[in-house]
Amino acid sequence: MIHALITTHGLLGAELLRCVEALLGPQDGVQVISNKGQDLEGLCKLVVSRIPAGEDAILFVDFCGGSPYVACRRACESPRRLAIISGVNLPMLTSFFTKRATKDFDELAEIVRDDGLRGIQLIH
Amino acid sequence: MAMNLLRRKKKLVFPLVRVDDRLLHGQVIVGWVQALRLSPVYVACDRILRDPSFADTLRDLIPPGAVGDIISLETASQIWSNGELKNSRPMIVLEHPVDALKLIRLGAPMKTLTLGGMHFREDRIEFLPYIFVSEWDQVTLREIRQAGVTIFCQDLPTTKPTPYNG
Repeated sequence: MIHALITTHGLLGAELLRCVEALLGPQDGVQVISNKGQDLEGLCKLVVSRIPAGEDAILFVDFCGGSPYVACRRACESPRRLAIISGVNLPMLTSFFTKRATKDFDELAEIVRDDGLRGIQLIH
Repeated sequence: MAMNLLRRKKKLVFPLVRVDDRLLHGQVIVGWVQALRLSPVYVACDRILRDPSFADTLRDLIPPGAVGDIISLETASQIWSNGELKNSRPMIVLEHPVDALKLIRLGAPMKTLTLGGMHFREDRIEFLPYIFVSEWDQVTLREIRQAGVTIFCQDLPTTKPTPYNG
C-alpha cells in the first residue's frame, strides 16, 4: 500500500483528514503531522520517523516554502520512493485514497496532483 | 494596518538579524521578506552548509524579487563589516542565539537582535509562546546584551516587539 503523510501548519492536516474520512470513511496508511511548536530540526526528525520503514509514501504539504515543505524535502533525501505534493486540498486527498490501490507510484503521484489542480476553479 | 506597517518600517534597523530555528519558512518569507521587500536574505548557518543538498533546498526558498544565499557565519560577518549590506534592506537569519554571539565575536557590528522563533524543547522554558529558552540560551543572550546589543522578541512585523530581559 502507498502511504500518505499530511504535514501542515496548525490543525489543517488533521481537519483535512477528518473531512476526507467524512466523505470516504476511515482510511488506513495515513498519518498527520502539525508543525506547531516544532523547530526545523525536530520537524525533520518527526517526518522521517512517521514514514513507515521500507514503504512508499506521498508526502502532502500545505504550501511550498513552509517548514512542513522543507522538512519533507529533507526526508526525500532517503533512498525510499517518496514524492511531495504541495497545496494539499480535499480533491487531492479523495483522489489519493480512491486510486492508490490501482495505480503504480509515479502514475498515482501525477494523477493526484492533477486532480488537486482540477479542484481549483474560478467561477464568474 | 498598512499605515501601521509603514510606521513600524521606519524603525527597522538593517540588517534585520533574526534568530529562528525554522530558518526560512512561511512566517519569514511571506511575513517579513515579501511584506517588507527585504533583500538580500542570508541564512548564516555553518550546520546547514555542511549538508550541501539541504543548503540547496533552502536556497530554493528565497522568493522571487529577493536575492540571498546560505552562507557561513564568517562570510556573514565579513560582508557586514565590509559595508556590503549598506543601501539595501537585508535580513540575516540565524538558527540559534549562539550563532549571534559568534557573529559578534567575528566582528559584526550588531546593534539589535530579534528573537523570532525558538521552539519548545525539553530543556527550554517559555518566555513567550514562540520563544523558549534553555539555561545555555539565557547565558548566551546575556553575553550578547553585554556586548551592547538590544534584544527583543517579534515573530511578525505587525506584532509589537517585546524586550527580552531574561
